Amino acid sequence: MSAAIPLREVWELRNAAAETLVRSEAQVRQSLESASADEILAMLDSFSSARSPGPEWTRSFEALAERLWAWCDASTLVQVEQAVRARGAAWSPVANALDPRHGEKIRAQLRGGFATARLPLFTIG
Amino acid sequence: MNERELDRLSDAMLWGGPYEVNDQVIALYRGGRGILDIADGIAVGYQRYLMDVLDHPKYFNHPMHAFDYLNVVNTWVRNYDSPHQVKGPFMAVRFVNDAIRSNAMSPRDPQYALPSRLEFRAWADDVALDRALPELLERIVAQDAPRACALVDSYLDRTAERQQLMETITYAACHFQNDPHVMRNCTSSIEEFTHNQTSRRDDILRGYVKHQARYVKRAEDHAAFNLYAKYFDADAVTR
Repeated sequence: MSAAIPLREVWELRNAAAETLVRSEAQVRQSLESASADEILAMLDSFSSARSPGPEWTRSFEALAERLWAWCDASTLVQVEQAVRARGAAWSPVANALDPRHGEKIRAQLRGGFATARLPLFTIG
Repeated sequence: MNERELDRLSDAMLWGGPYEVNDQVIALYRGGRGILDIADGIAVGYQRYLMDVLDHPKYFNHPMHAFDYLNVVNTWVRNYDSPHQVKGPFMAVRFVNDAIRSNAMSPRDPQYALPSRLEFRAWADDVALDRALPELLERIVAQDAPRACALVDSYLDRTAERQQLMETITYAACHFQNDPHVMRNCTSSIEEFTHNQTSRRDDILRGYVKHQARYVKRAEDHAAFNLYAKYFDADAVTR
């Protein structure tokens, strides 16, 4: 093996990162479960191409949409979808991601994860 | 370039930024790869974006131009002897990556997400080989990208024939008028496929089909053909 770091240490580092990710997902869950429609809307503002800090941020929208459908209150998401759709065509990718039919698909996908995994089959990056 | 090098380069192009793609090109030069080897790797790396990531028909616009410019750079590298040739792959990989990142500034719209080509593979394999190209022609004209892509996957696996395949895709593309980008993409795809020496050169044909079966044309109808049919041949058909 040519790697400078032993494989065991590499795997330990990976496990530490996974543990950190699981804990941060728990924080996201707690925040989203209690978030109001206005708070979610304020966050979604940064996903417009005009306001996004960069493609790495905007690419995380699909991961965010999964978590919204997994953890947010359905009636809150209806309010958010209506508000976003009212902004016009430029916001349709975001509005369509909040469409309940899309939500059904997302929830079905998330349920397809591994039984041994602590998290649903979320998009990571 | 070997498979691992191609994977690393395409990963950087699709998901990285300018520093990552620069690093990949530098590493390839340091590893002894030639200018044209890297140019070929960039051409097939871009196809993964077309094949696997890009679904929205309006978002082909920027990357489509980048691929055409890549073809210009590669044509220059292939045909002119200049000490500046070494810069060509850097320029090509940077503007392809820029176009991909530019698209990523907008969230992907789930309304325009395509079903996977793999879902139609069994259907495509059931099409007899001597019917595959006429069927492909129809699917491209109908802008049915998932089935067109599944058909080209199946065809490429079943036969070593490529010339008739390219002619079929090109003929299908020529049904759409009033948009020179369509024909320019034909030129870029055919030239890059013809010269490409990587193990993944067939991906250029897969990307070619995806582009022609999905990219939104400036004129979505067959306006010029319809005009011809109206005045000269009412029985004319588009294929």
